[in-house]
Amino acid sequence: MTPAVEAHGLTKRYGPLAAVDDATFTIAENTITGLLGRNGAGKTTLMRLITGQEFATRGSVRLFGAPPVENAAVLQHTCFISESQRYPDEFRIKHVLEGAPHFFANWNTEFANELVEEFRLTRKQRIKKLSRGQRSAIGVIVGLASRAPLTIFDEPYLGLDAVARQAFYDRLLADYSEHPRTVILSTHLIDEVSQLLEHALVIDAGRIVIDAPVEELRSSAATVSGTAEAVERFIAGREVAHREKLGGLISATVAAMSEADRADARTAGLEVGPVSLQQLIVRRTGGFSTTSTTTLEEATA
Amino acid sequence: MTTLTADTVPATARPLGRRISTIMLLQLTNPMTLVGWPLMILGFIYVLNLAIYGLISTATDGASAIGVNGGVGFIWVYTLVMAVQSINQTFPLALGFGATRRDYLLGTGVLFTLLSVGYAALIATLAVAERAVDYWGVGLRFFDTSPDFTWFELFLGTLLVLLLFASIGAATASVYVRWKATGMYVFWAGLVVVLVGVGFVLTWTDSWGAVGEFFATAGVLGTLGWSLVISALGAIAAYLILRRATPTNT
Amino acid sequence: MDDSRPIFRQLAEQIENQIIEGSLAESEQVPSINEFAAFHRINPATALKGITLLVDTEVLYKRRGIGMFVAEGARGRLIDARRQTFHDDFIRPLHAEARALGITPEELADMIRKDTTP
Repeated sequence: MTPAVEAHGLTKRYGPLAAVDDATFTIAENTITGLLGRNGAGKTTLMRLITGQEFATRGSVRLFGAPPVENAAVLQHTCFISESQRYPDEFRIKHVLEGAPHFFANWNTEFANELVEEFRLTRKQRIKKLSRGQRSAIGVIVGLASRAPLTIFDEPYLGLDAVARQAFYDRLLADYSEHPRTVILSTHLIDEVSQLLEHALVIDAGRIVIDAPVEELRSSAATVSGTAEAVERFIAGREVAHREKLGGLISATVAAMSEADRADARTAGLEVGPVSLQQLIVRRTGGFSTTSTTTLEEATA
Repeated sequence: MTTLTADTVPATARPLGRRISTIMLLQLTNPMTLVGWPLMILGFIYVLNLAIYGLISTATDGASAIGVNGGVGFIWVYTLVMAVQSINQTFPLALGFGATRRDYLLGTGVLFTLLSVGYAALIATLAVAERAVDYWGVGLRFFDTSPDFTWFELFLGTLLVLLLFASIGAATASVYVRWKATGMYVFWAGLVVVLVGVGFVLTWTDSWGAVGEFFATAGVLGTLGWSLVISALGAIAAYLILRRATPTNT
Repeated sequence: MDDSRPIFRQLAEQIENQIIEGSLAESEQVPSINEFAAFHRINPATALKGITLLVDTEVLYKRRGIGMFVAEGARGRLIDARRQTFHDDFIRPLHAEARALGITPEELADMIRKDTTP
C-alpha cells in the first residue's frame, strides 16, 4: 500500500543552516500523525517541503507515490492552511469559504458553516481584523471542511482558548472517524493531543529524532522514584533518559520497562509512575539541559 | 463513511480548463478588487473631470478647453498596480489551497487577458459615446484620445496598452514575491540603468531620429503592436520567476 | 484514560469492568468504535485495538453490518481470569503495605471480615 508521505534524506538548507536535515520517514495513510518539536525545530519547513511549497536542497519526498512539487495530480488532494496564511487584503471570511470549494473535491459546505458557528465567527468579518485565535479558527475550518485526503494543520491552536482547542480536537476526531484521511498535526502542546495521535514524528534542530507509534512510546518508559540508594540500584544497567534529584530522593525516567520490570520495582519499594508523552519527548530530545539535574520548571515548560 | 486511501486517490489532475477557472474564480471571489473598485474610481474621476471642465467652460463662456487631458492614463497605471497587488496577495493563498505555480500563472494570465478585453471594449465604447454627445459640450475628451479611430481601432489600441501594463505588473509582482524588497530595489535600479544605458547609446550613435522615424512609419497601432513583444516578454519573465518562488506568509 | 498504561488496554479493561459488574449484559450491543473514540477523546485506531483485544479474548464478537456484542459466557470467563490475577493485583500490594505498617496477617484478616463495604 502506498504510504501517504514518504521522505528520503530530505534536506533543506538556507545557506549554512539546515532547517530540515536528512529526514527519512514514512507516514501511513489514514492516520493522525503528530509532528512534534520545539519552536524553530523545522516543523513548518518540513510541512512546506511536503506540500511542494518549498524546494528541497537534497533528498526526496513523495505524496501518494509522486513528488509534490508542481504536481497538480497530487496537490489537489492536499490542504495546508496555517495560522500565518496570507489572505488577500480585502477578503472576508465568506470569501475564503467561497474560494475554497473550487479547490477541494470533498469540500462540505454544511460542515464549514457549522464550524463557523461553533468558533463564533461570522462570514462578514474581515480577515485583516481577526485576532490570532480567529485566524487559527479559519485555518481549522478550512482544514476540516476540505476533507482533503492529506490534511495538514500547522500549529492550529495558536491563539485559541482551551474551549476552542477542545472543540477543534473533538471535531477533528469525529470527522476523522466518519471520513478517514491522513492528518498531520504539528504542535508543541503534546499532552493535549497525545490521545488523538496514532503516530509521533519528533523533529529537533532539523533532524527526525523519534519516529514511532504513540502507543509504543507511551508504554516504553516509566518514572521510578524512591530513595537515592534504592533507585540507583534498580536502574543500574538500564537505559535512563533522565534523572531528577530532590534531597535524598531520586526520580528517574527509565526507558524500556516491561510489566515484570514494573512489578520488580514495586517490590523493591519504589514508586512506579507513568511518563506523559510530553515529558518523554522533552527528555528524549535532550530537554532543556544536558546535565543530570533539572528544575521542575525547566522540565515542564 | 468514505475512505480515501492512497489507492483510491485519483492519480490524474483535473482538466486544465477546470484548474484555470478555479484560479480565476479565486481571484474574482471578491469582485470589488478587480472590477468594482476600478469601475467606481474610473467613474468618479470621469465625473470629476466633467465637473471641472464644465466649470471652466462656463467660466470661459463656452470656449473649448484643452481636449484630451490624459486622465485616461490613470487606467494604465491602475492596471499595473492591480496586477501587482492581486498576484502578490492571491499567490500564497492559491498555493495553500493546493494549486501549482504553473496553473496559478495560467489562470491569472487568462483572467488578466479577459479583463483587458472587457475593459478595452468598455473604454472604446465610452470613447465613441463621448463623440456621440459631442463631449458634453465642454470639450472633455477623456476616453476619446484619438477621434480618427474607429471603435475597433480604439479597442485594439487600448487592449494592447492594457496587456502591456498588466504583464509588466505581473513581472514586477513575480520579482517581489520571489525576492521581496531586495528584489524590488535591484529590479528598479537595473531597469533605470538599462533605460539610461539605451538612451545613452541612442544619443551617442545619434539614432534618436531613426527611432522617431520607426515609430512614425509604424503609426500608433503599429507601435502598440510592437508592445505586444514586451507584453509577451513580461509574461514569460513572470512565469520563469514565479516558478521557483516560495510563498511567504509575512 | 491516563498515562499509566496503554490506552487500548485501559479501554478494554473498562469494558470488562462493565461486563463484570453487570451494566453490560451478555448478548447486548456495545457502542461503536467511533462512539468510543469520541467519548474518550482517543484515536479510533486506538479504540479499534482495544475492541480487537476483546474480540481475540472472546469477550466480544462482531455481527457483520450491525456491530459488536458481548459474548455468551463472557462474564464468567472474565471473573475466572480476574480471580487468577487477584493475588498479584491486590493481595501482594495489600500485604506489602500492611507489613510496612506492622499490621499482622491476623489483624488484616479481622479487618477484612469486619469490613462493610457494599
